[in-house]
Amino acid sequence: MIDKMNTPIAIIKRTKKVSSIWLIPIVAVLIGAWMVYDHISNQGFLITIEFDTAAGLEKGKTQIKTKNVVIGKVIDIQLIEQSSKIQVSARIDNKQSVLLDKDSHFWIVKPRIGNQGISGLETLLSGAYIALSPGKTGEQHDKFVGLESPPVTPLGTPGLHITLSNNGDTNFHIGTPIIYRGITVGKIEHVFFNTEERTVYYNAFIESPHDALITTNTHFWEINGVEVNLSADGIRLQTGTLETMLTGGISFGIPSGEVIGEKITQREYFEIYPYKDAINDQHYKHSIEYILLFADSIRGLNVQAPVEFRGVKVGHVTRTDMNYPNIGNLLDKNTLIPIRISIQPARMGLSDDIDSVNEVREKLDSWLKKGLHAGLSTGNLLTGSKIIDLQYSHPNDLPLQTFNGDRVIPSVASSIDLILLKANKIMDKIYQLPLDTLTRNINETIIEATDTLKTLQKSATEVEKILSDPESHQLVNKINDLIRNVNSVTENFSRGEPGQKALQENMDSLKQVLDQLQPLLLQLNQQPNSLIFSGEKNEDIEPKGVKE
Amino acid sequence: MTRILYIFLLSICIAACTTTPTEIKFYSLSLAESANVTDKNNGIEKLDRPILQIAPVKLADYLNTRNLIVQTNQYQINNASHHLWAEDLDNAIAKSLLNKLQQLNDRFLFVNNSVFQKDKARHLLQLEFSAFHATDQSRVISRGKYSIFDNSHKLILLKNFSYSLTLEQDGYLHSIEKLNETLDLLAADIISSGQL
Repeated sequence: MIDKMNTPIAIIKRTKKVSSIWLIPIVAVLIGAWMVYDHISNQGFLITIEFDTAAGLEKGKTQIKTKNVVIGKVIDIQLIEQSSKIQVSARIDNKQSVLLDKDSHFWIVKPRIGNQGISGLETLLSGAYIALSPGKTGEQHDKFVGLESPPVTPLGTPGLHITLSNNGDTNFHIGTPIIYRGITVGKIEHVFFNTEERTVYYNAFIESPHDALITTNTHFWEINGVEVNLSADGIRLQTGTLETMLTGGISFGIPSGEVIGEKITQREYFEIYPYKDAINDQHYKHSIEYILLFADSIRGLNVQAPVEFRGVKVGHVTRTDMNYPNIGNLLDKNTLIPIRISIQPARMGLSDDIDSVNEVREKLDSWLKKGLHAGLSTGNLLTGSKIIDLQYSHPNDLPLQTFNGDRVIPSVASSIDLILLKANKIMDKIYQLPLDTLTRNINETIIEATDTLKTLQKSATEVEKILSDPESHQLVNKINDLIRNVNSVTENFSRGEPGQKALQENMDSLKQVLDQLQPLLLQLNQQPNSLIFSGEKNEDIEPKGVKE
Repeated sequence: MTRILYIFLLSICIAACTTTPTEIKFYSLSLAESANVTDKNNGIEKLDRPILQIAPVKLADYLNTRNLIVQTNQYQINNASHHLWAEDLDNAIAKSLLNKLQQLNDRFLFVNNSVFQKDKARHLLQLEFSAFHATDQSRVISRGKYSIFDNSHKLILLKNFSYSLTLEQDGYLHSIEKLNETLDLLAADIISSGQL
């Protein structure tokens, strides 16, 4: 019998439903989750940048820097479908994501050689990187379009943005300096060619405080390194700074006589003139067109050639072509060549307004009646360029003419042309000279001279033979010795050597003797026997004193 | 016969020794002048003065002789055979005149043609004598003209001169003293011309 009393009673306890062993995988999962979170949270802000090329970029290696501080890394490079560009995906450190504004700029830094110099040499060893120029808008962005080259002006630089247009042939590059009196005050940042307008536009930036120089009356002109201008005004040579000699440049200023104008505060458009004087030529707003009709050659007269009155420029030539209706055939003997000129009243001491234009128009007819006419004058003898010279001559009674609606100023041949005409006649006479006969005679003379020279050459050869003879050498040596002796004697003589002095003294003594002999000779002449016989002396006639 | 000939020749030679030797007298203008010169500068020539150079004196042809000359009538002259100039007359006149001028004028340094100083602009005095002799009419005549050029060779004075002094005594010596006096007058005239 089993003692029920002593039979232990099993105590029923509830066992744990989840084993503590499960803590391990849970912790592991948590750690894993934390790691995933950490990885996701630390991999940075994802951005995409479009570039034209991925030259120098490497997936997983290329860094993104701002101010030489690494803030991210390229994680992927892909071609964009249906586009010639590539897309670079990059991660930017979360802390630096505030730099990713809408107007932030990215560009690839790699070795560059251009008109702005050499840059990016440090990337030769380290490899290219993408530089970031932070924006200012405060609006975060994750898609960007990269720049082809570094921005000329760092974002946020105080100054003034302007747009310049150029219809000329000169092409300015990004970075071309804008110079004011030799100081670089700005640069061209962007070039855009408008094919519809056939005009190149340049976005330029003028740094503060120089932006205050840009006013409403500011004019821009191009400057080249070395500018040689051969015109009717002569030769003009102008050199710029070393930088402009290499890359060219743009300068600006206010035309003479103009007021400064109001300061520009917003983007404005300006034209680039080909040279400085052009701004003075073209800033006159009012002008009058006239026609000159020439029967003579207008060779050397070009568009923009000055029109002068007594040496003062009053206008310029605007057209020299023949494209006028009903002008007739140029080869016709009686066809006159039309020259269109523009005269600016402001150059004549009048104001630059329509009233002055009307005043000149009204007075011109009376001036023409008084003899005002135009002539072609040589502006530059070197280049042969011509100018229009207005001058007065005899009063003109002929009726005034118009040509295609424009008043015609009578023209005459210039004095130079008359001289040239005479010169042509002289040349004609020279052409009529019997040059053939003269040439034939000269040829004959030359032939004779050649024969003479041959004979002379023979003689010279014979002389050379004689001179090469040893006896001749001895003769020459003797002559040399003789010359040396003569030179020595001459030197002694010139130095007053004792021998020369003695010779001089002897000569003086001889002269004295002859002087003393002179009376004796006179006596002998008068009385030949006086040496032997003492006769009566021939006494000299002596001067007599006054008898007291 | 030969002996007779020797004796004859010897006689001639002995007779020749008995002839009176010809007595010749020499005269000099500058000799008298040098005795009158008083050196104002103690022998130191002041070269910081303008220079007046006396050009070679031009004489009439008949004066170009060492013989003293006496004019016997309007057309005739007589060359003395025993009275001679001790030196060429042109040199003697130049030297004498130079000393006289220097005594009268201290502003200029007078030099004759033999004194040559290079690179020094100078005035020039040219003298031309047409007469410088005594006459048998108890007079001495000194006649001619002189001209003065400035240091740029520009003629600034051309003047004739004519002096005639009376001889109080006979003989050539007195005539030369009088000729020397004419040079005194000429020097004074040059100095007083206002060009020096």
